[in-house]
This record gives sequence, C-alpha cells and structure tokens, in this order.
Amino acid sequence: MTWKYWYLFIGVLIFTPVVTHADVRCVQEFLSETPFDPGPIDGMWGRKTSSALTGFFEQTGENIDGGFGKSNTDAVCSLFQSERRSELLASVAYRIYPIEIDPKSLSVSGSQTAFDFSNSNIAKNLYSACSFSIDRLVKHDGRVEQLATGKLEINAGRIEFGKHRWRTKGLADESYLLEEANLAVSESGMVIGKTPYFHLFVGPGEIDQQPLYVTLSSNFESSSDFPNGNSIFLVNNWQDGMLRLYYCDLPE
Amino acid sequence: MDRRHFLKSTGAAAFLAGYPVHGFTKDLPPGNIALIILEGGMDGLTAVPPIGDPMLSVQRKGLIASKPLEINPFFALHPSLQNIGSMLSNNEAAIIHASAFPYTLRSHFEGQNIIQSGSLVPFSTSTGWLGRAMDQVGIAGRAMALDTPLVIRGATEIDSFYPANIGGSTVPNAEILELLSASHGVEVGSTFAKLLENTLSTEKLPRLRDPEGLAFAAGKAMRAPDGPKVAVIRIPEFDTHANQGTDVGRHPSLLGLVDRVFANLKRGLRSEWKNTIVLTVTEFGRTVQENGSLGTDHGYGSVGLLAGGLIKKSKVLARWPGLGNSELFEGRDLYSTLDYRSVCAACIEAGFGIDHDIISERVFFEPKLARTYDFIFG
Repeated sequence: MTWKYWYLFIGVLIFTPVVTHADVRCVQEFLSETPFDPGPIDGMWGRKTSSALTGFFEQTGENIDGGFGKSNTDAVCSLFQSERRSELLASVAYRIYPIEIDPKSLSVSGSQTAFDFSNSNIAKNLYSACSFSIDRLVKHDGRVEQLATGKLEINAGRIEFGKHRWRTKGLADESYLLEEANLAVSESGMVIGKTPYFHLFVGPGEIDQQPLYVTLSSNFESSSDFPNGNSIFLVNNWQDGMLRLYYCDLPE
Repeated sequence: MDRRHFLKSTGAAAFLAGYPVHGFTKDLPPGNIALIILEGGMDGLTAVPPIGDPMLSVQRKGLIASKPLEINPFFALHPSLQNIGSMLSNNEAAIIHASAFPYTLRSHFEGQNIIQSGSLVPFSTSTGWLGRAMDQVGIAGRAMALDTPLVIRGATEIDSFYPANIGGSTVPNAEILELLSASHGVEVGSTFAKLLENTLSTEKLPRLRDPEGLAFAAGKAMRAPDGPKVAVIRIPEFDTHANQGTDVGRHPSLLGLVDRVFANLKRGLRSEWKNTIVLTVTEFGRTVQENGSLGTDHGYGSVGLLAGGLIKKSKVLARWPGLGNSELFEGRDLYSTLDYRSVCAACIEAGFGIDHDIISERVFFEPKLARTYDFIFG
C-alpha cells in the first residue's frame, strides 16, 4: 500500500472528537488535592487517573455503589462534591505506602535464634524435667568452667528453660534463656538449635557484654540414660561450649 | 580548634530521663520514648531512596546505593538499614518521608536548637519539647546526664546525676577533654588537646561510649521497674559535604550505626519494646543534587525513622512532593510536605497518652498542629 492518501488519515485524526467528561474532570480536580496524582486535569480518563482513584479508595476503604471505574465517575464525582469532601481530603492528607519487603532479601532476621528444625529428627514424644548446666571448655588447658545452672523441661522434644542463674553476671539474667533460646532434643539425645550464650565473666565496674548467639549441632557425648548427656558446640578459637542435661526424670 | 573538628569531637552520647519520682508521678505513662538525634542533617534520599520517582536518576546521578532494599514499588532502603528492614517486615516500624521541622535557613546551630526546643524561633526557650511533654505526665526532673540536652529540659529543675565510675568512663571523654583544653593556657591546654587527639584516634573505644553500646545500656535501663521512660541518643557527623559515600563510606556507615542503635535499643528493652516508640530527628535533609566534592549540602526535607512495639502496622507515610526542578524547594531541596513536629506529637501521644490538643498547645505552642497519630499508629 502506498501512502498517497495520507491526508485522509490526518483528517480522521483531526476530526476524531476528543472525548472529555465533566465528571472525570471533577474527579481529577479532587484527586489533585490529594497525594494521589491523577496527571493533568484534562477530563480524559487515562491510566494515571484510574490508578490514583484506586489508590484513594484503597487507603480510605470507602465503598461506592457501582465501583470506581470509568463508567461510574458521576457517582464518584458526587461523593467528592458532597458534604464529606473535607473529611475525605483529611483522610488522605498523607499517603500510606504499604510494606512489601521480601523477608528473604534481608540479611538479618527478627530473631537472633531462628533455626530450621525441618531437617532434624526431634524427639517429639519426649517429655521430661532435667537439671542443666552451661559450661565453657577452654581449649588450650582443658579447663571446664560453669557459666549457668538451673532447671529445664522438655515438652514434645522442645526445651523450655525454667529457673536458672548465670554466674557470668553483667547483663546475664533469666530473660535471655526464657525468651530467646530456641532448642530441641533430637532422637539421638543431642540438643540442637540456637541460644544466647554469655561466654565472659563480668566483674564489678567492667563493661557489660552482650551474649553470643551460638548454634548447637556439632557434637554429642551420649550417656546410657537418655536424654541425659552433653551437647558440645563451637564458640570461637579458644573455647567450646557445652550444654549438659542431668538428673532427667521420665514420666512413667 | 575549628568548627568541623568541634562537631566531630562532641561525640556520641546517651541521656536517660523521666525517672518516675515517688510522690510526684501520679500514674506512670503507658510507654517509653527513645529519641535518636542525627546531628548534621541526614540525607533522606540516600537512606530511603524514592526509586519509583522517575526524576530520581535524573537529579541524583550518584550517592544512591547500587542495590537498595526494595520496600515497595516506590520506596527502598539503603542496604545498611537491615534491622529497620526487618522491623518493617514485622509491622513494628514506620518511615516518614519528605518531612522536616519547618525551618529552612539551613544552619546547624539554629536547626539543632529548633529540633530540640520545638519552637520555631531559635534560642527563644530554655526548655525542650520532650521535656515539656514529660512535665505534662509528671516525670520530668531527673536525668542521667552530664550536660542535659535541651530537648529533655522541662519546667521542673532537672536534678542530674552521672556516676563517676560508670563502666568504661576510665577512658577520657572527648567532650570533657575538649572543654579542658579550651579553658586552659597554652601549655596545659596543648596537653589536653594531645590527649583528645589520642582519644579520638583510639580505634577500640569502650563499648559504652559507642552509640550502639549506649543504646543497649539505655534500653536495659528503661526495662527496669522504676527505670527511665525517656532516652535520648545523639549520633553526630551526618554533615557529609564531601565524600559522602554510596555503597560504602561515611554516610552508609553512619546509616549502619543508626540501624544498630535501633536493634540494640530493642535488644536492651526486650519485653518493654512493645511499649516503646523510637524516633529519629535531624535538623534538615540534604540537597537533591550531588555537589562537586562527592557530597551534598544543607537542604530541607528529609526522612524520619520510627520503630517500636507501639506501631501496629508498618508503612511509609508521605505526601510525595516530587523531584522535578519545579517541585523542589528553592529549586534545590526535597520539599517538606509533613511538619515533623506532627510526627513528634503523635509519638508523645502514643508514648505518654496525652491528648493531641494539649501536646499542640503546651508542648509545641502551635494550636493548629496537624494530628498524624491515626496515620502512623492506626
């Protein structure tokens, strides 16, 4: 096809009536006073006007018979011109942008002791009450130093700490193990999970140290009377840690 | 000592105030308020870039992180703000953008006075907005501080105490050394100045003097029964006129510090976090365009970071002014479309349970101050 009739196309473009609606203009005028930008106030229904109007209705939670699409702009306009106009404007004085963060995109999680137990065989039928101690094992001379002692319960394989005391002083109080520890007993008797661990003794006047957050999953010294045993975990280059369960009683 | 060196040497500090006083405090206010003062003017466009604004890449060629953390299609976080990101996804944080105290003259000294006094006329009042709010709930009067900052000074005379042997205080305090060196003659003064230089250059400063350590200690103190209800933490050095840094560098590492201050307040507060609101204030934002020395200059609108259990639903709140030339304040700065005093007022309402009208009249002397409580805490 040749373009010798090009003037006909131009003629069609020129004489196509530009459809503008007073209602659309009224909606745009209202929206232009809000943080929802409808684009130019030209009376033409376009993508900007449509998405601004959607944003307005999403934030306010307003309902309108017939919806807020292109065909219902007269109803929307009369809402905007009603006595509720200033109230509606006040409710969108600022725009609320919802949060859509993908938690996987973050390098930190809300909890320092989040642990994935899905690949572990947790002793789900285990119910018991034990004494425990948390010790540090100094590597170069083999010293074993007690850091904390107390009671705990095992419910469906999960460890729930009870009354206990840290000898390390400083910040260490009961709240850390009570609120943050995330530990379970596996079928083999080894304790796995993550827990706060105060590895340093703090003298009077010394600066408080926050706990380390350690992962238990490395080594286990079982004993014949399950679930008693020593779960040993890696801490740093000069010490290992140990969670020892003893005097565990088992229900009949 | 020049002005910039002075700004640097004032250092970070934390102040605890609002200890309930027996026989004076009638009912304990329901919550705690922790205020983080970002001194020097934080660059809101770096901290929370509006990636959905097509003018951002036109106006800002550099100084926007190469891999920002997407919050939603319009806003993102600087990747140093990981803990804030986590709090946002846990519905315990809010971001207020394109906001500032209504002060446009771009002076640190006036600006810092205004964000602490809450009065729009610099140096016109001897009390601070948080102090006046504390007066309203009867917890003013005691602070743990050497030099009580203006923001927490109330009508009640403040009885300061600061134990001399607090852990970590055996290392000299830069602020005191600066004063000592300034107030002595040449020879003695130069000794103190040398000591100050050593202190500033000591890489391994004690934990309690770091803002993160201070934040943790402050949070822990606030958790105690009869503990303070208010903490103020100062983080200086946001005045990044040169070599601001994009992915790494000065501003990004300061943002990381702010992020850790939030995280450590939460760790220190533990179960009290649910009754707490933490908010930042800064005297102004920075210019939209980068200057010739890879930095930004004093601007207007900036960003406010809020977190704490008193927030029910996370969000970014803004009336976005746009970044086109005609949309900028005086053709160069992000506009402030939200008076940050309204944000402070909403935090007082949430933390202390005072009516908005009382806060506007008696705390900010502005009866027509807009109420943003429902937007932020609703």
